[in-house]
Order: sequence, then C-alpha cells, then structure tokens
Amino acid sequence: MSILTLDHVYKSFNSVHAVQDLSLDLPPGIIFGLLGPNGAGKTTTIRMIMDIIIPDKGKILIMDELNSQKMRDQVGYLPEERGLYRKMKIGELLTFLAEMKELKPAQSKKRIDYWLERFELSDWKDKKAEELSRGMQQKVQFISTIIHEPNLIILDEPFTGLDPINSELVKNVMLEQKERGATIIFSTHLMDQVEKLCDSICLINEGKSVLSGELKRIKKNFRRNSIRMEFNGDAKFLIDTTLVQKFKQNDDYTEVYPAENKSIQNILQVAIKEVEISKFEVMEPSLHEIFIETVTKKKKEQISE
Amino acid sequence: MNKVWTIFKREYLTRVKTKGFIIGTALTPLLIIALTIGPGLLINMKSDKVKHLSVIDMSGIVYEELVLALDDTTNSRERLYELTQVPATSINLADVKNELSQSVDNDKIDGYFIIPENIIESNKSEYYAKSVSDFDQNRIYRNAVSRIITNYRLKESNLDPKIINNLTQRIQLKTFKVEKGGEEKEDIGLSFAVTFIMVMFLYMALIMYGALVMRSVYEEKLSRVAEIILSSCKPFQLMAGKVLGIGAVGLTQYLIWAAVAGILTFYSGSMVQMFSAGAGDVPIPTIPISVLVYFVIFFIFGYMLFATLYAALGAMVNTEQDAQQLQFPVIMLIIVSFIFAFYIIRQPTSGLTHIVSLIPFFSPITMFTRISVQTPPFSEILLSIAILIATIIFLIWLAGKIFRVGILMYGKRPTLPEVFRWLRY
Repeated sequence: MSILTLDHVYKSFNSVHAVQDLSLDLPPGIIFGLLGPNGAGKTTTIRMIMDIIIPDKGKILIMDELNSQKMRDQVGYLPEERGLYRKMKIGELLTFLAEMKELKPAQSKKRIDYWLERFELSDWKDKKAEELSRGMQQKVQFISTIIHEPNLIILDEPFTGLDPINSELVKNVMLEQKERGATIIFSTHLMDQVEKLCDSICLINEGKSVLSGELKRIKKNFRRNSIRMEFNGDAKFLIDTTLVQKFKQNDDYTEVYPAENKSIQNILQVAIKEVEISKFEVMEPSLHEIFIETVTKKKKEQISE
Repeated sequence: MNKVWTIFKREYLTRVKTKGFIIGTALTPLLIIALTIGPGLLINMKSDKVKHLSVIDMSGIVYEELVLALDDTTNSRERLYELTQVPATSINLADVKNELSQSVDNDKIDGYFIIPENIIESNKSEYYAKSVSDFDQNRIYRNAVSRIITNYRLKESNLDPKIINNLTQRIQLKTFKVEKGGEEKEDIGLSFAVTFIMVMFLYMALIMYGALVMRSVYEEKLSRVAEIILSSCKPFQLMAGKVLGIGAVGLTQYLIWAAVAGILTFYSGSMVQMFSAGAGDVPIPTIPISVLVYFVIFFIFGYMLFATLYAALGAMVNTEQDAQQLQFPVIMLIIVSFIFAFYIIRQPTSGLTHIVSLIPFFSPITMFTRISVQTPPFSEILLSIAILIATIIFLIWLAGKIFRVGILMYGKRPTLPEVFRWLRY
C-alpha cells in the first residue's frame, strides 16, 4: 500500500511551470523530505496534495484513494503561511480544530493538555492567540496538525521561525509520530534537518524532480571515491603513486584518493601497518553538497544549452 | 453536516460572547424605550418660565388683542406671557430698538415684537429674541398676530369673525385600515411609522450582517486561517457554517429586540403615564402577528440571499480596499430597494410596485413593505417568496464555486473573466 501517490502531476500558473511531471510514491511509516531551493515548487506540490490547488494534469492518491472527506480527517496539515483565529483562546481554538477533525471533546481535552504541557504552553491555554509570540503560535499550530493522530502529516517548512530548542522538540515529536506509524512529508531547505530525519527525499528544482529516493542510497551514489583518515605516524604510503592517486592534507584529517586499480581495502591494509589509525571512513558528501551540486549542475547545463 | 455544525457553533459563540454584541443588543432597546416614551413625555412638557415680551405697536391695533391672544398659563396658573407696550414712532424707532435689543441681551426681557404702522397692507411684522429657532414657539406668535390682523380685516369689511370662523371650520379625516378578513381599525398615521421602522430594521440587518459575513470570510482568507480549516472540510461546508452562524447571531439579536418591543407595546401606555399624568391618550402602535411572521420570513430569506453573495465577494478579496469596492454594488441593491420601499408606502397598488416586489434582490424589502402597508394577494406573496428561494439556491451554487477557488487564491484581485473561469472548475 502507498500512503501517497503522485502520478505525473503538472501545474502551471499562467506561463510559469510550477510543477512538471512530478511522480512520487510513499510507503507508510517514513519521513519524507521535499527539498528544493526557493520557488522550486515545494509549496505548490503540498497544496496540490491538500486539494487546495487542482493539478492541470495527473493524479494524486492518498491511501490509494482520490481526495475524499474521510481521508481529510486522516491528514494533518501545517501550511507554510501560519494563521490562527487571533481573538480565540488557545484551549478553545485547539478544541475547535480537533473537532473539525472529528475528535470528540472528551478525547481532545486530554490530548490538548498533554501537548500544551509538552510544548511548554500550559500557562497560555486561556490566553488569546494574538497575545502569543510567533514561535508560540507556530507551536500551537503544530499541535493542531498532530492532535488527531493522523496517518499522514504534511508540514510545509515546519522549522522556520523556531529557535534551536523548539526545533529539537519538533524534530523529536516528528520522530515519535513516525514511531507511532504515521508518514510525514515535510518541505524544507535546511539540509541538516533532513539528514537527521528523513528516510527518503525528493529534490525538486524549477518544478521538476531532479533527485529522489532513499536518502542512504542517494548518498551512496554521490559517494566520491575517497577516504577520510585521521592517524598518528609517518604516512609513507601516501606518496606511493601506485597506491594513492592523490591526497589532501586538511587541518585535522587527510583525504585520500586511491589509485585507479586499487580499492579502499588495499589502502587500509597498507596504512594499518605504517600508522596508528584513529579514524578511517569512506567520504560521503553531505546533503548540503549534493543539493548545491545538483542544483548548480542543472543551471550550468541550461546555460550551456 | 457535522463540520458545518462545528463551524456554525464557533461563529455563533465567539460572536455572541463579544462585548460589542452584548452592548449593542442591550443599548438598542434603551433607544427603543426612549423613542416610544420620549415623544409622549415631550408633548406633555410645559414651559414654566414666564416670558417677558415687549411690543412696539405702531399700528395701534395689535397690542391689546395680542395680550388677549397669548393667554397660556404656567403650571402655577400664572400668565405665561407678560407683555408690555413700548411707544415709538418711525423717527425714534432705531433708538428704541437698540434699547430693547440691549434689554434682550441683558436678559431683562425675552424678546420684542415690532408691528409696523402699515401692517394691514404690508403683511409684515418682526420678532426679535436671543433664540428664534423654536419652531413651535414661532408658530404660536405668528398665528396670534395673523389672527388679530385677519379678524381686524374681517371687521373692516363688516363681516363677523365668529361667523367666518364657523363657516371655514376644517373637516377631520379619520383614516381606517382594512385588514385581512374585512376587519377595520382606526389608523392614526402610525401604520406608516411602524412600517417605516420595520423596513428600516430589515434594511439595517441586510447591510450589517451581510457585511459581517463578508468581513469574516476575507479576514479568514487574509490571515490564512482558511487554509487550515479547509484541510479539514470542504469549502462549501465552511461557507455554509459561516453564513448560518452569523445569520443565527443576527436572528438572536433581533429576537431579543422583538421581545423588548413586544413588552413595550403592552406597557408603554402605563409607562408614559407613570412619568407624566394625563398622557394616557398617547396612541400606542401595535403590529399584527402576520406582519411579524412575514418580517421573520423576509429577514431569513433576505439575509440568505445577500449573505451568500457577500460570502462569494469576501472570497475574492485580497486587500481591505478590494472589500470596499466589491461591497459597493451589493449595498446599492439594498439601498435601491429601500428607496422603492418609500415609493411603495405611497403607491401600494401601482404596476411598478407589483414588479419590484417580485424581483429577488429587492423583494425582501419591497414585498415586506407591501405586506405591511396593504396586504397583497397571498398568491403574489407566495410567488415572490418562490422566486426568492429559487434565486437563493442558484446563488448558493454560484457562490460555492467562487468561494471554493477564491478563498485560497492570493495575489491580485481576480478579473470578471477569471471569476467566470472559476465556475468551470
């Protein structure tokens, strides 16, 4: 079963192609990152999933069903632009939003108290929304997206505007929700959050998917054939050009590129005899690098065209 | 349906609990009380202050008659007007006038008359005082002087003023309204007032609560709350919940007012008497039950019609200024029907009346006006309501489409062709 399927989805606004031929297929129980530079089409994609914008072409299925009312109650949504009823008290507001998701008042009361406590907002329960700071309002909104324990949680830029402590809190809650069995889609351009959270990603640029799949696999594919080493001793093997093609001495580590017909294993075997190794790992590019590399590569291609 | 109820409940409760609603609802009946009792009290209020007036009577025929004519008394049975004659000729008139004006300024006298020598021919006289804006007082003076001169002329022509007065006595015309079933009821000009007040309330309700729906929609749109709500329900449910919730607020307010007005019509007579003895004959307007029922019917349908229209417009708004511009044509519709109401009160049977009381955007006000001035055939009322309902159903469909797209469409205000495109989604 797929929790969410996008099948060759297109959307343009006037002459701007916001989303072009985007296909996704999400299994349940994962955290999925929708990445891309500003204006790439992340929010448009999320809004189409939420049935706020209608795609020009293509199909969107949630839990193998076309958008339906029943399904809406199974989804929690945090829009990019936050808004609350300013004149309503936080407690009443959350009760209302929970009721909109068909949660019985008796049930929602307990959960609201729990989450307000968790997000350190208990003292604000009887305050009006307009009295809260932006960060607090965002936390209230985050509570409203998970209060009904939805199967699918869609968060548009959940971390913008949060301080590091609250970011950490939101991240932990996201992981808990995944533990519970929920699928989470979130859009962001903050790559370090993605590395810590995501199982799968889709990188979109100018409306097109440029990179997608399991995060592990993507990183493997982008693995450069180099080793990061930290050691003590005289590393004579580094100048042996039959073994090492080239190396770079950095402040606290050395990056080593094996010669053409040598493997990482060969290097380890030699090195272990000559120096005291404290760290030896295959260099993986950070997602940040992958992001920049992929996006700028596209740009260069376009220019050369 | 559940979600419409949830939205309805929120709209209703958050509005009814606001200070504005409570104060507005409480103050209006006080205003009604003031309006029902006030006139009764004012009519019976008598000035107790003796007025000192000087008269420069150069014709020599007015002063003595004026003393007799202004014979009103104060509550303590003293003369209300104390007149003194001041002699003057055309030569020293300016000086005498100056002196009297100073006396007025020093509050020694309240005012003075100048009756010119040739008043019989010129028909002109003058009155000077600090304040001459009291129409009623001016009328009393004018009538007194007029009558004296008229009587003088009659006598000069050898006619007896008494006989003339008897011959030219005005005839009273009492008006009766024939109600349903041939009942007759004496009408004392108040049916106009009652109709007017009720039409006024209807008009206010359509403008006030309609605009409230519009504001509530675009505020939700501009604050992006709509996006959250719509992740839980269909746009149509949001629209329905809002329109019905705010409508219920209006209905609540009007029912409270109606209850107060009802109690007042029963007791206002005795209330007026409580404040001032001898005012028991102040007529109290009563409203037939059937008219009240029609009021509620046209209130509900009229509100539904305009509220759905306003909701669709609210969804098209992207800035506050948009709201004002878009609102204008709708307000015009309501104002035009209000103007027609005046016409109908005067011409309840004309062809135009028949037509405008069937046109759906006018009928909530125009048909109701017709019903309260001169009950039209039941079939015509039914036809008007049927057209109204059909229009409402069409508008709900139309507004639903516009609302669905508009509520989440940001950016510049949509053009008319764009809105037409929305209908096809």
